[in-house]
Amino acid sequence: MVNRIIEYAVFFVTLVLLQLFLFNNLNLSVYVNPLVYVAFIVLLPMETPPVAMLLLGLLLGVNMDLVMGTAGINTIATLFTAYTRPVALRMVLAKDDIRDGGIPSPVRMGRGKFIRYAGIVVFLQCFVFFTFESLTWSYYYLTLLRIVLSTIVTTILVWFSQMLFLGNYGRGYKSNDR
Amino acid sequence: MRKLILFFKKIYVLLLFIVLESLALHFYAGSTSYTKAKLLGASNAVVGSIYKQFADIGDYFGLRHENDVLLEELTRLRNEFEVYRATHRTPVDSLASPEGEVAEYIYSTAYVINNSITRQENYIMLDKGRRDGVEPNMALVTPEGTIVGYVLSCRNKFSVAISVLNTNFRTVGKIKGKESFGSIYWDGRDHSYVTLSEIPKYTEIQPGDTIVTGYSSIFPPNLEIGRVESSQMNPTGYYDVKVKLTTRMSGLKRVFLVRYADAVERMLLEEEVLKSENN
Repeated sequence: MVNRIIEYAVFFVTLVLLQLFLFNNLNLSVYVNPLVYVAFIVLLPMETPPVAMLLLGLLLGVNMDLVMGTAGINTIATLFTAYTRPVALRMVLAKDDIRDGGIPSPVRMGRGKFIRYAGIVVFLQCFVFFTFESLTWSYYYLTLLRIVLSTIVTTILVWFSQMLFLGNYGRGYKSNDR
Repeated sequence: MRKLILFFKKIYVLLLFIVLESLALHFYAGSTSYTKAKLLGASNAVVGSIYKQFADIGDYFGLRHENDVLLEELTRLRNEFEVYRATHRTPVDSLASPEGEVAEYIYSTAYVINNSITRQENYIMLDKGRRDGVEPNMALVTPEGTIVGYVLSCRNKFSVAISVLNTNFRTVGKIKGKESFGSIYWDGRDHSYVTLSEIPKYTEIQPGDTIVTGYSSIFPPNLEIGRVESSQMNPTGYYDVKVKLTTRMSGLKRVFLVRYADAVERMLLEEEVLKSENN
């Protein structure tokens, strides 16, 4: 348990640093802004209490707002994602599987289901983030394009972060949880 | 009773969510470019030196181009100086230390240590701060003399500037050689184009015309902004001109900081006029 908390803390810090020093400086295009840090929310154990989800989402969002100078958009988006994650889980997994708990990983859920689940969570994050960033309905089709492209790129990057985080442990967690 | 407790258990997470979310919304709604620049400045005090290391490494790869640009600028200034000397016949040493005469604009240099172009509100971080004499409202100009942005907030060693590529950025622009001027802003779509709006309909606009800065309390006049790409009459009878930025915002390394020496006097005068109008 303590081990797992330390691992999540390290993952949290790694994601914040990667977002800050790597992904925020890629400057790919106005339409591609990967929000990789959301991988933290994606990979939190399914049995995480909702209140803890919210508080962790708050911590992550406030951190990203501070370093990106966005004055609240990251917090608004991450809180929303943290709150609605159970919905994403329910859309992909059966009730029994969710009740079993464990880390939502490709090993645990199956590759296809994991990508669908991660895609939904990332989409929610990107939807709120880019809608609030543009704060106008006048070019909404461009905001939509931004949401769609960023969701695709972020989901791919979440897949890589999942490999980074779970690596060899992926299987270990599954057997521990059972 | 049990049901009631269960109900509160359910609603309590939702309530917490609503409270936290509204706090975040409240803060975001009340924020301005200045608050955001302040936030960036504060986090920069921590990560600025790391950004600087990265920027230093990147700079080595651009040195050759940088040298060419500086040499060209030096040649241009020499030519200008020769013209000036020929017409004014002023002794050189009195030019080097002008007495009584104070320059209207004062230049200094800074390195860009972090710059984004993909967000809606982009900011530029500089490696100089209050300690080096940087102040809010100093203009950022490339060595080629094209506009980049202006300083919003300063810390001791670093400062944060608003980029032309920020939806809150506004300045006065005009077509070179013509009188009518309008407002320059970025619509948040393409990082190589800005819009010049409110150009009266009787103005003749040709693609390729140069757009320069008009009189503002930040930018020196006649700095190049870009070239006209196309123009379109909007329903209110004004032209919206699509301008291709001359500055390559994605490749910023070194910038000039320009301080308008008379900014305070100008501001006081403007305030005085406004006050007397209100009375």
